Amino acid sequence: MASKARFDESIHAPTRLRLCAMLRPVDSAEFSALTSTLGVSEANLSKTIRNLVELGYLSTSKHSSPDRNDLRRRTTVSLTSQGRTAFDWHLAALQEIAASAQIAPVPEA
Amino acid sequence: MLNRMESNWSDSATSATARASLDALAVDRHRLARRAVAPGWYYPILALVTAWFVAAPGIGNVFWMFASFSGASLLLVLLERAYKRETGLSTNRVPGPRSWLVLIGMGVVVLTMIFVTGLLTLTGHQSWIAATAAVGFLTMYPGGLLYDRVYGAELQRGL
Repeated sequence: MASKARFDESIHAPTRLRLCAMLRPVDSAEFSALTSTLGVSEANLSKTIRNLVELGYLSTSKHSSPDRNDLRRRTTVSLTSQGRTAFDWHLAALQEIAASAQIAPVPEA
Repeated sequence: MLNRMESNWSDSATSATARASLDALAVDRHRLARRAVAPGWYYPILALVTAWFVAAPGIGNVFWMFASFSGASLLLVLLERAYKRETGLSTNRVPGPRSWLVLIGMGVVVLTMIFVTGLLTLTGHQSWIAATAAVGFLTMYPGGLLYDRVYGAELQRGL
């Protein structure tokens, strides 16, 4: 885990942050696995993925599946190296912010 | 891009938000760890393939030995595909040092057993090959379950 801390506003929105956190320890995840694990709608997740792809934080790939009898294809999502770095730095920033509150002196009444 | 590292870090609202975000991520990691657990059939099959790998040098004939290695390798690829289809995840990243330790430990035992099988074959003690194959199987079956537990724990601690 990178030690540098940097708050990144572009991934701080809850769904974006949770998606990056979900993808950080894996190589890739399928779209359906992400929707069920994160408990978000397909439309919400699609929009979030599209935005993060535009930022260069995510990449997607589509491949055919023998499980499906229609022509739709499975979508696989993964963090790019830029996305991993941004998430690690943002996570470190969150941890520092949370820790700083725990050691802050109690204000006088 | 806003760099709030330069802003007020001890702001209580920001701290509460940060803690809430970290808590939400911890819950998600727990879910991910549960999803990443291999299906019940995975490790018994992997253990059988491992036993096959370990026993392969006992064949003696170089051509059939490599054909056997190739067959076992193909099964490993199919097994990995089945895992991905079942879980929706590709998890080749190892989340921490304990997971690495378990993986390296299993790898060392399996490679040692393959080497021992080769030695047993060369010295004419093929009847012991069943024992090395059994060690390979037992290394991968309980070992794989142990890896899943350590992997899940380290996945959740990684935040």
